[in-house]
Amino acid sequence: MNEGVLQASFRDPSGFLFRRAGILYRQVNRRYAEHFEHLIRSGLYAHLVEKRLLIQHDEVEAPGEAGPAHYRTLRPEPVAFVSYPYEWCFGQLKAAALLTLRVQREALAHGMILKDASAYNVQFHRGRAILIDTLSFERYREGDPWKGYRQFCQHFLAPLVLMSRRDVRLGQLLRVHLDGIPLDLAASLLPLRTWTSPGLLLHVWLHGRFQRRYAGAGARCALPTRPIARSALEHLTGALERLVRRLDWRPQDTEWADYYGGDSYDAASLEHKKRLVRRHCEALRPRCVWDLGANTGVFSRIAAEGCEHVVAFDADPICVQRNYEESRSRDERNLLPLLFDLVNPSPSIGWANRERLSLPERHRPDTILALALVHHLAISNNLPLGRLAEWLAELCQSLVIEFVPKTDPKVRTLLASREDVFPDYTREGFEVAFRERFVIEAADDISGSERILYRMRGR
Amino acid sequence: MKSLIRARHQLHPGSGLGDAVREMRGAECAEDRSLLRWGRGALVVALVLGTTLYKARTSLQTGDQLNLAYLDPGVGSLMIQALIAGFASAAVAVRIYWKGIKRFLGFRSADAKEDETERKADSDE
Repeated sequence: MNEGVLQASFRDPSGFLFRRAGILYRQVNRRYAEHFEHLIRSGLYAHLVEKRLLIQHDEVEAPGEAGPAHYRTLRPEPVAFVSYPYEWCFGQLKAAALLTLRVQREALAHGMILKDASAYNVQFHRGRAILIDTLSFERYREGDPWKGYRQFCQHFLAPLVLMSRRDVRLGQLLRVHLDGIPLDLAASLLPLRTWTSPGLLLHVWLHGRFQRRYAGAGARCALPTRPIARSALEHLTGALERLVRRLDWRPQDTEWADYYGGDSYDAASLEHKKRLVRRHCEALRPRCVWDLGANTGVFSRIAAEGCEHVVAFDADPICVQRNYEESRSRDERNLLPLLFDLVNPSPSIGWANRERLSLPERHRPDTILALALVHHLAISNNLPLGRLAEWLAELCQSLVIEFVPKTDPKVRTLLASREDVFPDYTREGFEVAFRERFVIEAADDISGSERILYRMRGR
Repeated sequence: MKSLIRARHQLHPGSGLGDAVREMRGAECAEDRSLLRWGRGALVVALVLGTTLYKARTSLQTGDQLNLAYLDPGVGSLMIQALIAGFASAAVAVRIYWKGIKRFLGFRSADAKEDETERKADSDE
């Protein structure tokens, strides 16, 4: 992990995040003192922490020399894995939106208001969405508008509406538009029938029209400074909450969503594979596991039984949504489902390519589970096995990986409509490629199939 | 509508007209009431919309210094927020004066109907 000021922490002059000796701190600047004191004294901080809506922090001495702007140093509770909105499924983005509005409601009741509404201020911590930016509040002055309204509509409302009413894949627009999806773009992509909803008509379509109408108008016309009553702000927050709550996404089944219920495994094979994965996890004793191609998280949950944190990645939005719903219904604290395409992973983006980080720059796991994955990378994406071994070795210390041979029905399907240009895709070829980077500790045949499950440790 | 009213006044009650004519009179009265309601309804909607839009419009020209944010809230976003706040205030006002508006539109409230039934029952006794 990089030491010093975090590269994403530069916009808000109220303070910044920095890392010293591997510990994350937040400096509160003197200019934010009044708001910070009100946050604590009004009881808002204690209330939000008690309700698990805001990250908890300890006030500590500044580690090292503090500059003249320094007011306080906070040590926030660490978040196990930092994820970004374009890696969330529909349900996660909706939970983050509702959290933001709930916090706004609580803040108004304590004489404060959210000064921004960035989706990047929300993380999934111990299974639930939580606000991580302690400096997002400012004292509410009677008559002030909600300055985070634009950001809320762009970061949350627009992607949620597009995912719900047009196509769930449009959530990926957040990866291109880091300050949220422009509302005129969202409006142009939405089906006409959505305009029958007064909420969508106002907050998306008309909002987008107003943005375009008044673009660059700051210097030409007076800002709209007519006081907005607190009751109107509460009404606005309530209306947005109702609107977001009504947005829903009912996924149709994909080939992946019913993977374990389909013809891939019979019950006995599945049970045997579960036993093997449990045994390997117990042998490796990892603190943090990444399950790549996790599907709905069957094996992620086995890994989660004995480790601190599991991140379950899958490229299919339905699988991630199901995994998240399951995780919420069980109130799981150490499992985080995320949307992630291995052949097009989250890049380093934003200012100087350092604002939103790629996976390895954020965190590295102890162990990676790569079950029923290799054939998709090697055959569907023509990825040489050596390169896969090299990438995995850079990321983790140990590996539980499944090899699916060409005789397996799934691989036969992949090869049915194309030329077999994979002469090295054999058990021997696989072992040769991985032995360069890993020591094979165990290789077990999965009963009732021709698949092999390996446990490996990095060299 | 005026011709309908004139025609209705020409028909003196109890002039020995048949049931068919009485039915027609009933229908005309209902149509008349409905037209009146529509007219008054349109007036209420126009008033609410007019006030809201006027408030949003005047917000461009009045007011003291805005407490500025570190992020640009966007002039368009502030404008639409003012408009939505106007709608919110109008909705609150409509909710407060709802009974009065219903009476103005010619709808009798459930309470009034109950009172009337009670009065009728009392007079029957």
